[in-house]
Amino acid sequence: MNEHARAHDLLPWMVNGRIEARDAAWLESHLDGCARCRAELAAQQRVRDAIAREPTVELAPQAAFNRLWKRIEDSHAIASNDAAPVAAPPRATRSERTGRWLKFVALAQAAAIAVLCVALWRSPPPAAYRTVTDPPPGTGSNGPVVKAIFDDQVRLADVKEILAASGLVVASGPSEAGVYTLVPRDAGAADIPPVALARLHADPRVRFAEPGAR
Amino acid sequence: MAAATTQQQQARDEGDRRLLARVAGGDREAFRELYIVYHRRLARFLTRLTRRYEIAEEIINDTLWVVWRKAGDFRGDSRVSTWIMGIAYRRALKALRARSHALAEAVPIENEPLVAPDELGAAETSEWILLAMRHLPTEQRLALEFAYGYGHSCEEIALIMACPVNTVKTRLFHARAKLRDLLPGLAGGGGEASSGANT
Ligand SMILES: [Zn+2]
Repeated sequence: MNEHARAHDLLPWMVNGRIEARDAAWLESHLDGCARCRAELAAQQRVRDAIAREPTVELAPQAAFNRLWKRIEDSHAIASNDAAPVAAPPRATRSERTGRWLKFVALAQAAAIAVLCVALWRSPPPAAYRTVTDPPPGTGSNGPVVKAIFDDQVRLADVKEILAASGLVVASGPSEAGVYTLVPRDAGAADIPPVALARLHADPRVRFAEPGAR
Repeated sequence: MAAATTQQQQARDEGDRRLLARVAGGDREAFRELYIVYHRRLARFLTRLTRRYEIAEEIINDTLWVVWRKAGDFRGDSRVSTWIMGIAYRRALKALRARSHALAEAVPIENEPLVAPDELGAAETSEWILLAMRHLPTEQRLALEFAYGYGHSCEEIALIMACPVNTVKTRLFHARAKLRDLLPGLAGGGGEASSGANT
């Protein structure tokens, strides 16, 4: 295998950080003297950047989880009914039909969102799914807030640390899309201190933070 | 988005393993936590692959259902993410085959370049790259997704796709060649890079 071909094969693993140290040393010295492979490196970095970008589709993992959990429970119920195979389905009731309708609404909504593919922020999800996103009743609803999304890997302890550093507290969230609504710890603050936003923006664990409306 | 370092990936895997052990014991809350993490990760490539969120979600739920049932069988000889991604990969192929229409069929290749992005901004370039990827056969495209979207190593991708390491390399090789044909300006700097190569 000639040098370019070897370098060509190694480039993806340099681009995604999974190259062996020995190969990396060899590749770097090859790149120093080879414009063609440097151009290929730049090309592959662009491809990586395109692929690694988060889609702007907003997801509703909690609702999806609820659907899966229902399926799991149903399958357990069937399994435990094996001893009595003629047992009639317990109820084909109104609540079940309502459940199906809600499921349909959620699916249709999800599909529409995926197709439109533009809204990072959208109006609140239907009432049935609002339990986690509802701001606690009674919290002042007109004060300044920050909408923030943390990195997937961030743990609760990280969130606490980030908030402590920026002087904010969680008013509500995370929503199903992982959005937190943050407010100043000082309840009387008329505005979000710019330094708080700057702290959030500077923290690599924060994927998104902007002033927003409740 | 910077690729996660090996250390971060190890820490992530340890977290995943702890969750999975609890899932194997029937812990619903652990399963919910694992689900939320993987819903987000899988949705990224599945919505791109299927272009329909409801199908992506169906595949995600099929995948996590298998995870729920088989959590106790996970032997720990690979990363949890590799294991789950392998299940998702097989489920995705199956779902796509079941829907025989053009859902995930590669758009036929015309030999015309899609665009000559001499001076495209980064965001536009990304749009073109994602568009061009739809012209790739599914296997080639997924090899790219696993390498660049998830930072899997060549060996991990071979595990996920249940194929030899050399097949992964070949798939990536062809995928890259095709993207270059479709997007001649991909390497940037207009014609500078290719003319440099002739010297
Ligand atoms: Zn070279």
